[in-house]
Amino acid sequence: MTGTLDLAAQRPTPSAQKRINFPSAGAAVRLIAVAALLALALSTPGFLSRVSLIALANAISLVGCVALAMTFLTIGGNVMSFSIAATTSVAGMVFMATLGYGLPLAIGSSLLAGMIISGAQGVVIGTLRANPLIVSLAAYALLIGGTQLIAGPKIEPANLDFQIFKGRLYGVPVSFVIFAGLAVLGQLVLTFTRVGHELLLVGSNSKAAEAAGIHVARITLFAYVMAGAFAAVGGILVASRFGAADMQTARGFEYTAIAAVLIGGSSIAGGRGSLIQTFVGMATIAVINALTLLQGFSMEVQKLTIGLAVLAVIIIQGFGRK
Amino acid sequence: MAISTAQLSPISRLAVHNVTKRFGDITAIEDVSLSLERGEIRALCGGNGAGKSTLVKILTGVQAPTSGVIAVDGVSRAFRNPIDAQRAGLALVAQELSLAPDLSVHDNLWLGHADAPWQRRTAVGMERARASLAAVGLDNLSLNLKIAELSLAERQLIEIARGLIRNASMLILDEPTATLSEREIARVFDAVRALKKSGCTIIYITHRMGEVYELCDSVTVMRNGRIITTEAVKDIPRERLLELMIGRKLSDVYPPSDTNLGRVMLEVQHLQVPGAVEEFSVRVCAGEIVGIVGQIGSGSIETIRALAGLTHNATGDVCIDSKRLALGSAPVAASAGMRFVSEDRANEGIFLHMPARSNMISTRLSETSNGGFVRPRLLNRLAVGLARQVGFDIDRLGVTAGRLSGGNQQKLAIGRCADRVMTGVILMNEPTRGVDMGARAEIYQTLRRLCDEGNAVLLASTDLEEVVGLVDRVVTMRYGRVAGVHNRADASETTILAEITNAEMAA
Amino acid sequence: MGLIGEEKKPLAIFGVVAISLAAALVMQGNTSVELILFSILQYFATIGPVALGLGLTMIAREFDISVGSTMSVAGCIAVVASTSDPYLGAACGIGVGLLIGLSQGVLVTGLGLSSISVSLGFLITLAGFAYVVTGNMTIPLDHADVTSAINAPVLGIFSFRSIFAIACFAIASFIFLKTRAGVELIATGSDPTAAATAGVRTTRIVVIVFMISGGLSAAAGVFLTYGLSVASPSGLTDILVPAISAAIIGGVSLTGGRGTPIGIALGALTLCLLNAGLNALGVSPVAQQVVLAFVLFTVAVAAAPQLYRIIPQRS
Repeated sequence: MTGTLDLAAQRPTPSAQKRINFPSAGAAVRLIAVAALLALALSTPGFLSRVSLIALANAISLVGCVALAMTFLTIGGNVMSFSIAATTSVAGMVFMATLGYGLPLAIGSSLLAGMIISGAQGVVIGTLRANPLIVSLAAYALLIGGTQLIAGPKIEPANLDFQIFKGRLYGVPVSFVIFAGLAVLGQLVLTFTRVGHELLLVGSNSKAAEAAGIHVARITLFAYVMAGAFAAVGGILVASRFGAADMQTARGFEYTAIAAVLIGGSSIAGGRGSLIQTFVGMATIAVINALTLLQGFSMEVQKLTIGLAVLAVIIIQGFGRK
Repeated sequence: MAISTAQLSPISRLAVHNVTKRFGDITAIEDVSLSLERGEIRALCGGNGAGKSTLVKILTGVQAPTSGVIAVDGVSRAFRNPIDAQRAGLALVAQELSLAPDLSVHDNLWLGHADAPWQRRTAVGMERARASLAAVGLDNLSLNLKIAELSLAERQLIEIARGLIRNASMLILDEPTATLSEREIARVFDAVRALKKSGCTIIYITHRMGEVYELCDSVTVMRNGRIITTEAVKDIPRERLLELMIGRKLSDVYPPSDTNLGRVMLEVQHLQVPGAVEEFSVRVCAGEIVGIVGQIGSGSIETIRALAGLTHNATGDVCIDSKRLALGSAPVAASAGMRFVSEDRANEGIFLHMPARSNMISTRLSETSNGGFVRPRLLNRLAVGLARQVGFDIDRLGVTAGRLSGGNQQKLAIGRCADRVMTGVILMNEPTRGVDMGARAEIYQTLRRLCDEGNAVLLASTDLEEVVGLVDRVVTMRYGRVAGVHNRADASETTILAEITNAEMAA
Repeated sequence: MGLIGEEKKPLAIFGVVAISLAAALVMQGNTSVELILFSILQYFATIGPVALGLGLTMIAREFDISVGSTMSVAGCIAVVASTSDPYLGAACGIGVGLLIGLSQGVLVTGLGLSSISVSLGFLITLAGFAYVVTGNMTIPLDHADVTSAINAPVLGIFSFRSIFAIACFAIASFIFLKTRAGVELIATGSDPTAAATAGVRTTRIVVIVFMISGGLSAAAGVFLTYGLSVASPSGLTDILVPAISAAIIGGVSLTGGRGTPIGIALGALTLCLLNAGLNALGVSPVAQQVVLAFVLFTVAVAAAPQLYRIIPQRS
């Protein structure tokens, strides 16, 4: 019902195509929804203007990185993480705090921070099979409180090296290029590496994966480390955009992120989905946001619309399974 | 002489008319008709996948039939839920018991009663609970004990007592003795006979010949979702009944064993799993199929799981191909050469939401990847090759595993063990649970082929007939210990059954 | 039954925390016991009903993570609808909570969806809804009398809010221990298939449990908002941390079938005592959050199914 994530392994033989590619109710509804959305977008004056598109690209790239990070966790069977946005913020703070030692080091330490924070949760969840929601909730509270105690509310950068992340590349915002690049890179990892395949198997059914001799704990750790790295990239972009790092800016990103994952069509039960789908989901959210604004609705309606879209997708997935 | 349905008596106690049930493309039962009289004990026989459990679910309102009618005392009924069936006087004593382990005996007896009072406990309710316990011979059982603290036999009897507390006049017993010792079986029989005397109609599902002839008045045989015959027990000879159940000669199902034994592939000494296996030792050679037989709770299933590395607290000396294996980790066991096929196919055996292709190669990613990168073409070729080997339709490799029949799912689970560079040990629990006869024969042949490739097979099964027909050696287990070892030649169903149920020394 | 079996562990934890708190207070020479008990119960009134609702869904082997948003939506709706009559506002808020629970329960049972995904969808939707209702503003309550009445001490240590919370637990305990409904709830969570085979209408049980969860969170939200006299649309997960902690400390199992309202009450009270103790010691709210996070983390690890990997267990 959703796009194939593993093109090579799932390419059906011609005769099989007839048998399996029934257009399921879910896929049909989604197709109609996308078509309607596009029609609405194209008929809305000002939507296709250059300024509007750049604003759109800008709007989705920061939280988009977090959504990509979340995708690793969702398809790996861990539902979602409440702490992923806090991880983003902390990575941003680390970036700003170490910027004085040079940009490469700052980027490196930021990525490392993200991977360690997320990976530590991955160890507990993968090895002990602790509930991922509860662990991430504890990590969320710990990160919010802990950073406040250690670093204070805000970190100002030592220099302006971060400005390169605010620039444009041939007119396209750098942050969007990075977001799109991450989506492609992550998807390549999922499609063409052994761990990628194993991640989907673990997400589909961790007990069966264990019985099949897959190192479930290691694969889960891999998913969390990847998520941490991607979230850290998001953190660097957020901090750069606003010229300083704090715990507030990215607050609530986890909800937009999981919304993008689900609207993109990845299964919340794990095992099915892709980063490309999340990219599409993020773009859909951005279009919805832009449309509600252009049509004269308030910010608040945006939030409600996104929520309803998520709910609709979950319900459609339920109908699709029936 | 066959009793033709619904014609002998114009109004029977319970009648099923032309009931069919389909799940998507799969037909579970087709055109099933039955008619039962007051005080009749009807045996319902048939192998796995014959459609018995679907029929039971329809009779008890758990599932609605696709077409067909159920009539009680001549009045047709449509059960929308189990409560409707209960009100009509039908009660099920389920094989997988429907007791809540966290609740007390009293609460379980009244659980789901259509007319239970709103209070948890009433004096009248406790009185009736005691009376129903007494009727099944559990006079001295405390109502406050939790179900988790009771033996399997006691739980079985409590299920029957629950039927009594509901004033059920038609009881369906689904293999009530499968897990019991002989003395416990006698208790259940006594209870069933008492029910018959009081006018109850009983459908007794079993695959044990002896029980049919000892307890039942008439017998209905199902196979592949259809009723093959319904006859009075006294009119049908044993051999004939056995043949009807299986649907073909035994020799057609099981491939011949050509025992060209190779080197010792698996050597197990003093395997222990706390609470399940006390002492287990075995030696299995390449090219050999060894079957472990025991009732539920005997430790046979747990033995296989422990060897597959799925039990964290198992201990013992295990050597695979003369190399020591550390227990307790499934990935470690797998890389040493253990290939496990689970008894719980839906939850552990296969990936239900994944395509058949992904299932087929799920254990083979290491040999189809290079430096961490998978090679799609190699994966595809391997999947197709394995499918051919186990007789899986290669056009259906793209189908989600959950949509396949039990037999095809099992082929996926076994297929991924085949054709490996490194030979090893195939560990299987219940190789053909929920698999129809046709697919069974193919699975048995696949197992033989795996042996010929130089693998060893160790399987645990509660299906005696399968074990006797398939394996080269039988190891019987009782109370977590090995009870006996037999070669294929001197193993018969009766001797094995006696060995695994010989429970008179039970404390 | 009841108090001796399942609540042994929660009671022990509660006892240890209570004694430490008492010791800390005595050492500090703090004598305003009444005031401390009052503030403990006020906090209990906030987290208790939410923990109870969430805990009941967990006992039924479901998981309602939307309790936080339900709480804030109900508070916002109550304040917005209370311009003429605060009672009407409260009724609206709680009514919406019940409706939320009903829809979640119907979706979970009707479509066979996992309750986590449904309640996650509701969490996001309701958060947006709260912003729409308030227009992204903080809205003051126009009834000062209601605010003071709801917070006024009763019998020294109680208030309307805490009495409501205690009443909820008392009623829940009665239903749980003394009625058929309680038995069916445990059976549903313990083994849903077995319960359905036995004839329990598990669908109905799950829907009702979600309604209770929605209603209790909404009531807690309405009374909290009335007590604070302002409604604000934010505050998503902040209640989830203590609510889940309370339920698990109270002996509720993540795999369903285990736990009791009394256990959940003890779990919630344990957190309240901890909170009071840290306050008394002058620990900053931020540091308190860290402590709470550690508690939840410990709880998550202690409830992990493969804990034996680090701690060998008796078989």
